[in-house]
Amino acid sequence: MSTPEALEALGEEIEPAAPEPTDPAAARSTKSQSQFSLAWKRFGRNKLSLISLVFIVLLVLIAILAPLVATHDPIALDVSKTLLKPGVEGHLLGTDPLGRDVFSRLIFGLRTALIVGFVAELAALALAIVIGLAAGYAGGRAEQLLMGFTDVMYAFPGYLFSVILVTVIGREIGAVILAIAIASWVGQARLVRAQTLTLKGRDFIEAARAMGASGPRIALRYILPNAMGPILVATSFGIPGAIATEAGLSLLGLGVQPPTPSWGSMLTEGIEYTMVAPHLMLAPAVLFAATLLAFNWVGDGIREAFDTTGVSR
Amino acid sequence: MRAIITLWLVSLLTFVMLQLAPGSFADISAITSGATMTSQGQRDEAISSIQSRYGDDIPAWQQYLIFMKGAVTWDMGPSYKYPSRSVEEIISGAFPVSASLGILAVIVALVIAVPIGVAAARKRNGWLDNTLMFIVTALHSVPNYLMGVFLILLLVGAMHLLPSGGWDGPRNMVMPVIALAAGPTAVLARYVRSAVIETLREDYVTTAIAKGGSPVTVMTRHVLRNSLIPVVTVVGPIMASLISGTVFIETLFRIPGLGTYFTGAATSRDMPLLMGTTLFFAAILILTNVLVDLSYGFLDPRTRIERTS
Amino acid sequence: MTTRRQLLQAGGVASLAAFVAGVTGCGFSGNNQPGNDGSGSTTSLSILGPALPTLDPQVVSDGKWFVNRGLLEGLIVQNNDGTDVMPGMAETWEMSEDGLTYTFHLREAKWSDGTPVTAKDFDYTYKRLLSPSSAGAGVTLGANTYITSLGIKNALKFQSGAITDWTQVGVKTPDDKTVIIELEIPNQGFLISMTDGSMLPLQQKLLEEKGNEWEKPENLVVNGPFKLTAMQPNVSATLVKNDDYWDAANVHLDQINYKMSQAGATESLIPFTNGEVDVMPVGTAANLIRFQNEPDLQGQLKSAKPGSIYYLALMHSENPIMSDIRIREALSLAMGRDTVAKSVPLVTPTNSLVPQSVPGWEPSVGIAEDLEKAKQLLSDAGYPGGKGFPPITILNGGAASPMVQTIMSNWTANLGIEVKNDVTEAGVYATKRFGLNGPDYFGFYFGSFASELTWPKWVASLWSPTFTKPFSLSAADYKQYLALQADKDLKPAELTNKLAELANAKCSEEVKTFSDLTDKAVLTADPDEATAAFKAAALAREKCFIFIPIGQGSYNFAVNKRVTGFHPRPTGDQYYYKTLGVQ
Repeated sequence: MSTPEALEALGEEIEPAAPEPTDPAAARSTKSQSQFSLAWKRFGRNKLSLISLVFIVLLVLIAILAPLVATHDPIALDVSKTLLKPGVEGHLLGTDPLGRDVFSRLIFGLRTALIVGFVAELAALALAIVIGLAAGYAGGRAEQLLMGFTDVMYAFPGYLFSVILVTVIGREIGAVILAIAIASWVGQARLVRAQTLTLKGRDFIEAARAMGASGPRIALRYILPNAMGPILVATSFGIPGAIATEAGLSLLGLGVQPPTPSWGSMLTEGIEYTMVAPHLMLAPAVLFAATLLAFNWVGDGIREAFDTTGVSR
Repeated sequence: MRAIITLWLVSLLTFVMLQLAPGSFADISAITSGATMTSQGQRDEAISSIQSRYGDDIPAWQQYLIFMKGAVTWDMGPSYKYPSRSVEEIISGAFPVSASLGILAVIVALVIAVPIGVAAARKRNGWLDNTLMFIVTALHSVPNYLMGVFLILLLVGAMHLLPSGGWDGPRNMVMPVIALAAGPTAVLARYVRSAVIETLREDYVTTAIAKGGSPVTVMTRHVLRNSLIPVVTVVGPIMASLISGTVFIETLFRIPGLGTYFTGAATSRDMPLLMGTTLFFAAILILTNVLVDLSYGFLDPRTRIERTS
Repeated sequence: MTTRRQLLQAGGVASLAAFVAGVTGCGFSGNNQPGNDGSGSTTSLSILGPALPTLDPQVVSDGKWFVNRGLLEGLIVQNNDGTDVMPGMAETWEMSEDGLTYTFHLREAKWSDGTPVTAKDFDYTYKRLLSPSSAGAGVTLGANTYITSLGIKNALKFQSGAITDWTQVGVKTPDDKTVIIELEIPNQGFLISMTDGSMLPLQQKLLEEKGNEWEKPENLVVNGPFKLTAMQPNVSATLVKNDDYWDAANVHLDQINYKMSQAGATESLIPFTNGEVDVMPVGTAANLIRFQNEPDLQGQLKSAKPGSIYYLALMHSENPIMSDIRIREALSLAMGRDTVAKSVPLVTPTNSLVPQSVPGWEPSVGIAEDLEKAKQLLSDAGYPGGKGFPPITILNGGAASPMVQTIMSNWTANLGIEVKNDVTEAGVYATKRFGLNGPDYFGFYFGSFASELTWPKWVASLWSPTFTKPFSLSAADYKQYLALQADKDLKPAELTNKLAELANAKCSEEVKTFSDLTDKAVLTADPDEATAAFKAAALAREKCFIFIPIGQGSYNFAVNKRVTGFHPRPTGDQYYYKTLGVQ
């Protein structure tokens, strides 16, 4: 079989990898200056990711403008109007077992979810990058220590930590976010370290070192940007993961305090009422899933957009 | 080795956290059992008889040492909540249950995810890729307890195909495994796909093809093998998420696994059982990581060279 | 490279094989519970219930209620609706003139290993119940609270270690067939309280020989209508008719399959509608609503007489604001119980801490709501229209409660005050409930209680004067109280005395009145006069406004149409297995 045909058989549009720049200066400039504009152009070509990004921006706007978008007070209850079906008496999505408007609770719950998702993931990511990068690059004693610390945190039951934190600080949203961040940074740190290890051996790193660049500089300027691919994939799972963790914490009684609406508590209640009032579960579940999906696709798009080792289609 | 130190640190941390956590076994039992009308004196007396091995008058650090000695000799004494069963008895009974679910879930995930990932990578950006990734992502967006609830509604409530819970035979494993495997399948599929795409671009792949290798051989011998590194990395976190996932799933399907015992112990501050299950989980995770680390050496010669230099 | 890869492959396959082998040994019980088609010679039922951490009836867990239902039988048992008692192990019994001595005459009954049930078994078991600390795995946590409602002579003293001579305790067994119980004061509710699980006998031989292992199915020896043949902890238990039971002729079931649900699992009716179980408890609002709405399910919900009271209890706080009784009264009078009860199906509002089914109950025992008066009281206390009143907290453990949420909403609407809900995890709940909270944290905690329907129980035992007094202590006094409890050097007897001293000296006037009236009622011999006295005491307790009743509820069960003989009662054991049958 001839080479082009064989290539075809393996998959379409696989073009030979662009030769790795051996000149660190050139490497840097390709990566930082035009990298983002190039990435953005590539991102734009992925329609699914673009739509998802628009959706997320929309969600963020709604969350910020929650009091304007919601039709009722999310915590106002009315025991004479419980479990109304969607569309009845001005309640777009019906009412919950205490007569509260589901649509409004969903909107305010969105606010909580987004805050938790973004902040928790950011915190976790920051921690993961610092530790993972340092460990992977430095090697030796430092790596042993850092990875040892990571291992301990990894094996430590998250539930207990959540209980302590939430107890000490109270069921404030801050404690919940902290608990989630602590639960999720470890996996990402290991990923960062793995990527660092793999990249450490590449030619351009050698070259940079030969040119006299210092350790941290190399780590930050060369390794990190090149490791962004898997890191971004991790992040795109991390945000929806944080939101899902909060829902899980609500299930265990540790999420955001009622009567503040949260998707987790709405889901839990909805599960209970599946046979009586299915809209109670469907509404948060659908919105929940849609949000998570959107984040995942955006993450996909970002990853593909940052793909510099070869021109992808 | 480092694993042992990690395990020991986890035990220490758990014990400290337990002491810091508000509420004692006595108080919580008093409330949940409705015995709140007992005077404090009676309560303490009763508790010291439970804690006969660990004793209310024994300082905390000593209790810790007694427990650790027990842990090492596999004789940890009775659990507070289940006074007629010893901790090691509970763990030995519950571990095979959780393990079988977890392992099956991983196998199912691998069996489904790898072909999906590869297929998607080969036809990337084509309709197959997009469809598969859509399904995969959708699966991932549903938390596993929600998936469990759906499965019950569908397969039990509507179709009457399976029992709603319990642990009598393999039929009880079907739904829990599906619910547990959904998340890992999604994660694995994406990682496999992304790793395969990266690898397919490498020079040596082109070389291999140029040398005349058939696509299948190239795929299996070169591409898959080298794509495995990021995938192997993610096995660790998957194991961790499985462990935390089993808690919900076991409760939902009435399965007597380690997850339920752990949560029950944490909620009721049952020190021996909590320490026992935590250490056990930790040991599993640490073992997984050790294996993953070792496998790097096999899979990526470059890291091996790095280590020795 | 090839070699390594092959090694890898081989290794992978090998470990996979090992895992799969492990999987096949994954702990299945092999416990093939026959289906409940009722066909063939075995009649069986499946019941869904809570998991059983232990079967010891002297440990307050779900196991205690379980054994009382059908494995073990005490001296006497309750009748079908829980209003009276019937012979159990005791064939006949007499009460002395002064009401202080009860003599029980045992029948000819056997344990499931063929040995006779003797008075010695009762003596042994009661001693175990009341011993300050038990040897072996037996733990008496909580089960001996029932002693207060029984009033057995010197029982409390023996339990606290003040006496160590068992012969001084009011449990006498002059011969193998007679059990005599002596009380300190006459107790109207004594007989009903004797049906509680903590008074069940255990076979002395079993406990002495098997030690920790006595609960295991292969060892367990019982005297009830069923025996335990299999147990998969946290999953299921199998009960089979006990042919050695004295009344085996009247037991109509061959087998009961008990399936366990985990704590924390969402209650689902699917096992019931699926036909997997014939009986299951129903507690959540969602499921109760289904029984009201769905035609298939109508008629399959069976409820016991209401015997649970939902209440709010004052929390200890450094903030003195709640020590003003006018505020507490205002909160009770403006609660809006009608709407609160509506938030949960099958809960009815109540103004009394005593369930309405207790014989002799009447509305005058409670304090009716009065919104105008409430507003006035709040204004008199210095917060007209709720202005300036700091946010008050309602604490509950576990999940958010619709009743609490409605109370919060009502207080805000009726009184203009801000209310916060603190829903916490169990351990945190325990600390906040028992501890002294800071100046910003004050209010009530939410709870519920259920018990047999007698006056002595609901007035002198639950929310008793001893229990109530500490709640009326000022913050400083309560701090002292807590310090005493934390003092490890005090022996239990001394501790109880010191605590009582402090509580008696420093409690409020209203509580003192309640305490005095209760003491009087307990000592009254004539049943009718005693009831009147208890009613007076109950009203006095309401006037303290420390424990505020909200509503009353009952145990509800989903029961398949083919099940006969299902008689739910308000006590914790809920119903007996003996009467169950299948059509």
